[in-house]
Amino acid sequence: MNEDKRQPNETASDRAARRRRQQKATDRVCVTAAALVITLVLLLGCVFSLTGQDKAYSENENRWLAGKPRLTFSSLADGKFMKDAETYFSDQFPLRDRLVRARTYIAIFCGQSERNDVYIGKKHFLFEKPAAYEEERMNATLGAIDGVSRRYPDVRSFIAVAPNASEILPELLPHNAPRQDQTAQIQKIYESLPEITSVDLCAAFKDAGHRDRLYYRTDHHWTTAGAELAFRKIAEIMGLDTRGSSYISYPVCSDFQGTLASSAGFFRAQDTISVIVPGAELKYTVNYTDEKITRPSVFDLSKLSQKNRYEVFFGGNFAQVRIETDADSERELLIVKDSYANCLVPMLLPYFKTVIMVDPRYYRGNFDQLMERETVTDMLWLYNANTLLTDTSIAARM
Amino acid sequence: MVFSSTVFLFIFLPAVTAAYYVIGHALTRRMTVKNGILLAASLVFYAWGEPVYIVLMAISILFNYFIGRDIDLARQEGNARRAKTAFIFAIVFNLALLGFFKYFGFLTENLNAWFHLNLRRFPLPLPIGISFYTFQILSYVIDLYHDRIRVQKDLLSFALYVTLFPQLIAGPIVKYRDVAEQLAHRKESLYRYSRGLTRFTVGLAKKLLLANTLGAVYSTVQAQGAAATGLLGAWTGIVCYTLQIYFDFSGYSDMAIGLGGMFGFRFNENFNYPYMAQNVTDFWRRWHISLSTWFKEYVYIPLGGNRCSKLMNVRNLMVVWLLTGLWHGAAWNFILWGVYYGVLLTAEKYLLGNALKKLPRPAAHALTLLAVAVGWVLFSAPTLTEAVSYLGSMCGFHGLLDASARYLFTTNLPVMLCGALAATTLWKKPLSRLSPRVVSRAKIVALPLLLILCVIFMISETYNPFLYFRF
Repeated sequence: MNEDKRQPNETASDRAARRRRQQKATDRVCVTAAALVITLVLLLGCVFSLTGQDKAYSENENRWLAGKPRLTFSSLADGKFMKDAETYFSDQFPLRDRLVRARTYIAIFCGQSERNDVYIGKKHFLFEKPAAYEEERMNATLGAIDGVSRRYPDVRSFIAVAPNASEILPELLPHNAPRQDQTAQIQKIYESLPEITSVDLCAAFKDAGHRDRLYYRTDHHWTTAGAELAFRKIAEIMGLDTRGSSYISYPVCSDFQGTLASSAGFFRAQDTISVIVPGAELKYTVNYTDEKITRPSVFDLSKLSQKNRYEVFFGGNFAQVRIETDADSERELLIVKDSYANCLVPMLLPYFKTVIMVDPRYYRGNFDQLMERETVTDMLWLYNANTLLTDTSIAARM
Repeated sequence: MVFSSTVFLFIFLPAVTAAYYVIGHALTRRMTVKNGILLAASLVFYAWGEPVYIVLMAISILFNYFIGRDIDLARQEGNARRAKTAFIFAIVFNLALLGFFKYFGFLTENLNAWFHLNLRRFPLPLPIGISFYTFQILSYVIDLYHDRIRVQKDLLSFALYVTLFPQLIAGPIVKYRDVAEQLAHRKESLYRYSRGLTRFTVGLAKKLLLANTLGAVYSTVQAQGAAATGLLGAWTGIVCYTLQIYFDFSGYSDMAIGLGGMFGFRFNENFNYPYMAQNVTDFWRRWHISLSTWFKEYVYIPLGGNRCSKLMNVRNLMVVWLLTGLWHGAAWNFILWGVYYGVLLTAEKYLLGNALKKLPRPAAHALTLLAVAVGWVLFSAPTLTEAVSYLGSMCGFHGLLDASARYLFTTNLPVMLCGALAATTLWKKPLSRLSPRVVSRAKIVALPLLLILCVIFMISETYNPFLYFRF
């Protein structure tokens, strides 16, 4: 045994007791020190919360942040003031965006591979969780689509439902991540619409050479390459003569971090957005019907300096957009669509004298009056599977 | 207000602590001032969530304060009858308040369904913490009547006892006699403050880091419905819930005990590693100790406890556990959960006790955990049929693997393992190999880091990306 030289008279139990006392004293000092550091953190949080500059808008969350709550007797009595104060302090908390990012890294460190319903896949690829096929909702949607095609039997109707990244790139999904068989879901949709000519995009996408270039890694949309592949398939089915047309894509930005990156709080990857300019000689005007604005281009390059750069295509989603071209064609195309179409439609322009885009999520007009007014020859339903599977606006509006 | 919110952590707590120690401790050095500050803070804390019910609480405080004085006066005058009348009135009044706000809706709903009546329902929200503070008040009234404590003549102290914010909304249930002395005399010190604050931090971490994370897993399983859940998914779910409810509840208790300590109070422990229990009786000695001792002292023993015939003892056990179940909420699954424990504890006492003692320790431990987990199925299910169906899933009646089971299990296994270590005494083993000095020093870094992790988790819960707007 190791004798303590300084106190030779001390017995073993005395020594143990003395050590325990010393250890206890050390522990008291350490706990006190820890508590003082914690107190300091709380005080700093308090000072910065109260004195920090308020932010009005959160780009990552795409929403307005809460401002200072208003103190009135009624807001105090019904508790609104307290709820507003809670939201205010957490919305304006110092370093909020960084804390959210840190949370995502902690989740990944702990073996989790999703945040806010976004899968964090391999190679920094992010995926929207695929939606399930809900019979009741889909019956309503498909009934509405079928109804339109039956009301206008003279109009050639087409439907193209794009699979999402999770269907085309399953090998990049997190290990074991539950997914949906979108190929089967889309097949089921097509089979429910026997009157409408369907465009099978799943097979074309699965056979493509660079499947990982068809979708953005940080956004839930397809890339221009994905849209181009879909366009060729659609053109083939619609009988458009694309021989002799050249489709050169120009990269317009290389630091795109889309909605999935924001949702997951995961900003490791950056994407490139390219645009394909419709035929060089083609002249056209883009008319935003509700907004009563006419623009000379399908691209809104000002959006490239904003957070959601996918809006470079048509400037985002609008209820109704009407494009007049000087194309040598008598056909007039109506597209009922979601945001996937925004990137594809420019490629369709050289084949139609008029293209009208309707987004049922924002459209508040009367669809049948629109059909009466226009001389539509072709109609295309263009959606991605996740949007169509969760959509309620077609059933409500069409 | 809840402890795990920015307003509490960064505004309320610093403000109250500063007021208490600067005004109460340094400037005036008077207990009345300190108690006044804590009372004001507690009222703000309570009103934050439910401003209207502050009136109910005030009525409750005033009523019980005065009836306490009356019982005391009557006894001093030797008027036993008046003391008894006042006592019974007090019990009835308190239980009636609790009954009306907590159980009236449930009662009318069932009466209407059984007898095809059309009794009027009052869809009132449950006043926060009413189950806890009513039981605290009852401990005062009952002990006072039985002459176990002296009457509280200071209204401020009595109001503070009822409303004290650390344990106001989620316990522990502090008996009056345990804090009576502390309301008038308590010693604060830097070390007590420090121990309290660090204990609070540990509790906060249990709640935010473990309980909320594990709870999200169980919610996912529950959302897909028991009929669509296979064996692995069901077990993953219930293991997560078992851990969640422990960390949630014991985390709140840690926070309450810690906060009390920061202001010089000493509350009894409420949990003692319940998942280390060797049998169900042992489990209930370790789980929500303040509630089970309350029921033991104020219901079980007055009914005769075990100093009576076997039959009466079984009745007493069943009454206590029926009430325990009902205390947790006005719904059939809580009642069933209480009865389940009544039956288990009776069986352990009279039928299986000796057989269980002969089991090897790991087997007894596993059996106890199984019984507890089955209990949590009853406790957490939205309906009784769903509970039965979930038990079926745990037996594999709905298949072995559902679509998400493997994913849920593998991606949450690390969190579940962390939880299992922290919920048992296993985490202490690797630490005992280190020198105690190193462990102490590590606290200086680890505890503040734990707080920062809590803040990260708390803030990111409020991150609401809103994407479906013209995207």
